[in-house]
Amino acid sequence: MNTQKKDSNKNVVSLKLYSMPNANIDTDQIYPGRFLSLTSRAEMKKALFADAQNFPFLEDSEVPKVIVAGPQFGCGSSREHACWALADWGVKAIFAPSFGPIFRQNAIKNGILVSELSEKIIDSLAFFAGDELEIDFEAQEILLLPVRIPFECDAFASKLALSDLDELGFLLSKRLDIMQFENRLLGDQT
Amino acid sequence: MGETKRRNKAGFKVNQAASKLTLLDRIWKEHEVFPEQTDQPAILYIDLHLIHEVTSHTAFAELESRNLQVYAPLKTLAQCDHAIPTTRDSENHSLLYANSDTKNQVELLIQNCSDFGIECFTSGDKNHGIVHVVGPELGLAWPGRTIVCGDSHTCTQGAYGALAFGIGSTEVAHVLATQCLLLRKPVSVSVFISKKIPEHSTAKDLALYVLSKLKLEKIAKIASEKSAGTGFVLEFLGPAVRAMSMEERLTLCNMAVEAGARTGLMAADSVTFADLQFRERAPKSAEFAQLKRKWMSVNDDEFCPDSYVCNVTIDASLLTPRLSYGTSPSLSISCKELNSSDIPLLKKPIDVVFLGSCTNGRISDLRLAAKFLKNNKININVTCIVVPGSLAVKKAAEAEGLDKIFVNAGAQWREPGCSFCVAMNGDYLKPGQVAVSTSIRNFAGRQGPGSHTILASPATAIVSAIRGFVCDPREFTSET
Repeated sequence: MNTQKKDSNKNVVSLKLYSMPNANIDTDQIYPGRFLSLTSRAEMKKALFADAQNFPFLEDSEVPKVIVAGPQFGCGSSREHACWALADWGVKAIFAPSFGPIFRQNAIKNGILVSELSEKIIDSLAFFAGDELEIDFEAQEILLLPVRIPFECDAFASKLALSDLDELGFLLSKRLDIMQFENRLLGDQT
Repeated sequence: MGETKRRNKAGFKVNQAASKLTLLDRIWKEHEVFPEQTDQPAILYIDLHLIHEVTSHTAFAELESRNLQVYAPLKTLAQCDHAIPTTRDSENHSLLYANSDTKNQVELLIQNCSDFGIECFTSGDKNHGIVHVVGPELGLAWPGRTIVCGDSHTCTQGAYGALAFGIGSTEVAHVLATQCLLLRKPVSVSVFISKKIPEHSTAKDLALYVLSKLKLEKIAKIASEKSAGTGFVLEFLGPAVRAMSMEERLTLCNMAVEAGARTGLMAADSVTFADLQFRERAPKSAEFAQLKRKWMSVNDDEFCPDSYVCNVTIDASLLTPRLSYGTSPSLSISCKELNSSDIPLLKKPIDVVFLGSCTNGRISDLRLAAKFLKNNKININVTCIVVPGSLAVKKAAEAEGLDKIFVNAGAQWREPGCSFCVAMNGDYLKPGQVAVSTSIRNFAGRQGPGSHTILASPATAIVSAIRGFVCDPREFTSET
């Protein structure tokens, strides 16, 4: 997990909680289209929620963050720019009842933990907006002691974190198998 | 076999025998280099990789930083469609870029494709257009293929029975470098559409209707429980789908991503193969015959509800022209409810009408709009912009004289591209403006900060352009 560790023995991190309860916060809202022509990552941060009303909290850009969101967070366009901008703003984890499927993939690939939690749990977490939320990434639990809220996260991301490969490195390590697969395909066609 | 037959809600016989493979199952299985494991997604082989200027530059940079080549340049094809201008200088015919960023981005794609040996089309090229319009046009979408693109509307091409879906830029790099993706298998949801689309309604109205009828949150929940977060695909079945032309099917499949799905899929039938047969890059002769034998399936009598995690039934005969009213495409009403509704957006005068996009930028869409526009004028308060989905669409329309109908009525006839749908090439709405758009996204401010988008079919859009207010195309028909 690409997350800053407060106490390395415990794997517990403390993240500032932001609540975005609206359903369907699409990637156009997260990263408006007119900024898509930017090709420099350093510039992309300025696009984050650029057209959204009531986002004064965007100022504290150094703090590591967790977002609890409404259903279908990140739906719509496939633009990974939305994840880059969120990651560069310090977002380490997002919990929502459901995600746009491409956004979900993109987030994982950018070291952002994404996990589905029920609307009921999301609502109860939203109550702590502005506070620090403690998350144990290894045990996969949100700590509201004495309550521990379990969440699931991408097993493959965890597996890779223990190896010295990233996803592309993993795929490249399978190139021989990919070539054999292609030969098999050609064989089937003749 | 002693199968018991029952009927689904639409009265169609369904096969209750052991569940059979879904279309997704069949395509997926054929493309698994490695099947998925508990702690590892499947490695899925990709037959065709489409790329465009917005979501590919970081991927090329990644390849360069690792000193990698593109693994299969001949299975990769690029289009400059998102940032490309739709207007040219009236004197020297050069493209009028919105700014240096968009120009640089287009030039960067052309350069990357030249460096890595990838075929790339830009404005003015014979095969230029919106990536999801040109793919099918060239005959590159065919049954059983896996197709990806760094663009969510790749789902459009599922109309040909291909597993076609959008990916992110990191994944674009994966496919460029290995022709493979790491992905867990989505689950399948069936959308059985009975009867047929009534006269005066269109595939776009059906798309909006299906979105309004699907219980999206419920489906997302079921899919999330059963798919480890990969999501679901919509498999469209039933007589209404069978009765649709390929262009109508593309319009319907285009909306799958708006339902929160990975993609939409339609099994191939005689319509699919008749369409595909003479396309430039489709399989030929023996190869085509083999493809047909393999994928020409479809007997909806054999539909097995148990193969899907969720089954939805839609009655197409209840369909009427529709208008969206919120900031999600699933919020729409029938035009017949217009007079009784008190939705402020739908009472406002229209500033812009946009005809185009991968939803409704094909020749049949332009023909439909032109039919209404003939002998009429665009309302003086409306700017109507027609953007063909590709150069081939543009040429076909010009050969039929459609461009003259649009221009004589006061509309603008543009060069192909994504234009007002993604609103990043300089074509965008001003704050407060209201547009009727034939695209599929009415997200807050998508077509320009502070602007409002009403989604509709080409018929409803053009009739609204004539009137200056949204209106029911059926009323218009009865008047003329």
